[in-house]
Amino acid sequence: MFDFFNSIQTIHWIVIVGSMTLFFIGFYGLTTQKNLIKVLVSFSIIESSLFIFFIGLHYKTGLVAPIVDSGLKTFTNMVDPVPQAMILTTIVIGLAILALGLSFGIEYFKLTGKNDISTMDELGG
Amino acid sequence: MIGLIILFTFLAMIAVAIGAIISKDITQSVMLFMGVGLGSVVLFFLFQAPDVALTEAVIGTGLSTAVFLLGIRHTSQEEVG
Amino acid sequence: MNLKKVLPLKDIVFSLLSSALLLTLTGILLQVKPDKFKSVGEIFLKLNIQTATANAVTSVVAFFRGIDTVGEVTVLFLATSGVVLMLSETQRDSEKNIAQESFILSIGSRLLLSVIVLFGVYIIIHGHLSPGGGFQGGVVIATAFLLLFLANPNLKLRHNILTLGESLSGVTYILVVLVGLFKMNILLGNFLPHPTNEIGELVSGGIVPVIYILVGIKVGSEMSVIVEYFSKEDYHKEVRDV
Repeated sequence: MFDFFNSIQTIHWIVIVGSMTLFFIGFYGLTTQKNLIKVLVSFSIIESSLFIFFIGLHYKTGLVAPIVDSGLKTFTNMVDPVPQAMILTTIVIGLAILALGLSFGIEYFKLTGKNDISTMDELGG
Repeated sequence: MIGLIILFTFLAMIAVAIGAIISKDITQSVMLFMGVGLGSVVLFFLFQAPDVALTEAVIGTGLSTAVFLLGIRHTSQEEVG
Repeated sequence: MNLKKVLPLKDIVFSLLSSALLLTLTGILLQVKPDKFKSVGEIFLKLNIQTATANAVTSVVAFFRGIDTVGEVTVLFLATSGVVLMLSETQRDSEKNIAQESFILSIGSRLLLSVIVLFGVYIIIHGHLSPGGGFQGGVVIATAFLLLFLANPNLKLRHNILTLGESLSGVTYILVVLVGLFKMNILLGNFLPHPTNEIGELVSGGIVPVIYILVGIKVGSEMSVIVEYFSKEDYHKEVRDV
């Protein structure tokens, strides 16, 4: 039974279904929640699910991390380093954009005192 | 063996994410979001990506939760008097 | 009991439509077979022996795709200046906070600060030998400053040192890119000596650890400024509610 769970096809299926479920949970929270902080939490859950999806699909069984240690001497039989390099900087930028969005929310709360996105109707509608 | 661990980690992350969206207390929701971040650190380690796991561990557990909690303190309506 | 308020019809219809869309997307994605894709990463792994860094991800971020890192550092700078502009009038400089600082917390956090900053500097400098680098170490240094702010709400950072460090590291990064152009006729050329038999030593890899140290200084100072502006108290609220 462990052979079935260790094959590449099964792992890719689990990664796709699991990260799409997390995406859907975050998407549902993004469109139906009323509090400002919960909307931002749902947005961060969507971002985390996409990172897992991106790195999970580049994994094949039997490969190792792309770092040369005292045992290894050549760069063979390793995982692809390019998607890891892209996701690394994206995580840090996601944190900076989260701080920017929260600072907008804090300033709006200081001006009008509203916390609920259904009562923010200065622009009408 | 790895496939079973990945499956159980995904199930735990989905349960914690559903709890984060449904809960009525905002602080509890932020703490459950930190649980989602910790689950993703385990997954990045199993996918042979140590740099990404280190980045997500420091940011998801440290600064992201702290920035959310400081934002909650500034935008909560308290009763004075 | 009003059934329309407990289960609103819009939410149910919307959930069904979005789950149908999600199932279609998952079904399309399950047909993809990733074994047939070729990637440029295999060529980077073969070329990596010439840069003499032990960590392949570091050499991709700082050398093979170094111009992308310039763009990402610019986005971080824009986000930090946006936060500073929005939250800049929160506290007047002459008035103090209402919360008192506790003695044990402030002494203990000052003892821990030096250990955490040393750990962050270790992660930055050994970025080309083990997992780590500029981004991770910079965020660890910002965590040390967050600990100081939680223990002592009256703390003020010296802004001239932080501004000097951040702007100098950004300008030096652009200068290093241009020096590579003038010396080796390629943007971001590796103009420091990098012999291949020194892989695994601390001084190796040519230009890659220099770039990562500059990125680490910039990210660390920006995240510390963001944490400081979020920790400022606002006591106009008490004045308004009276």
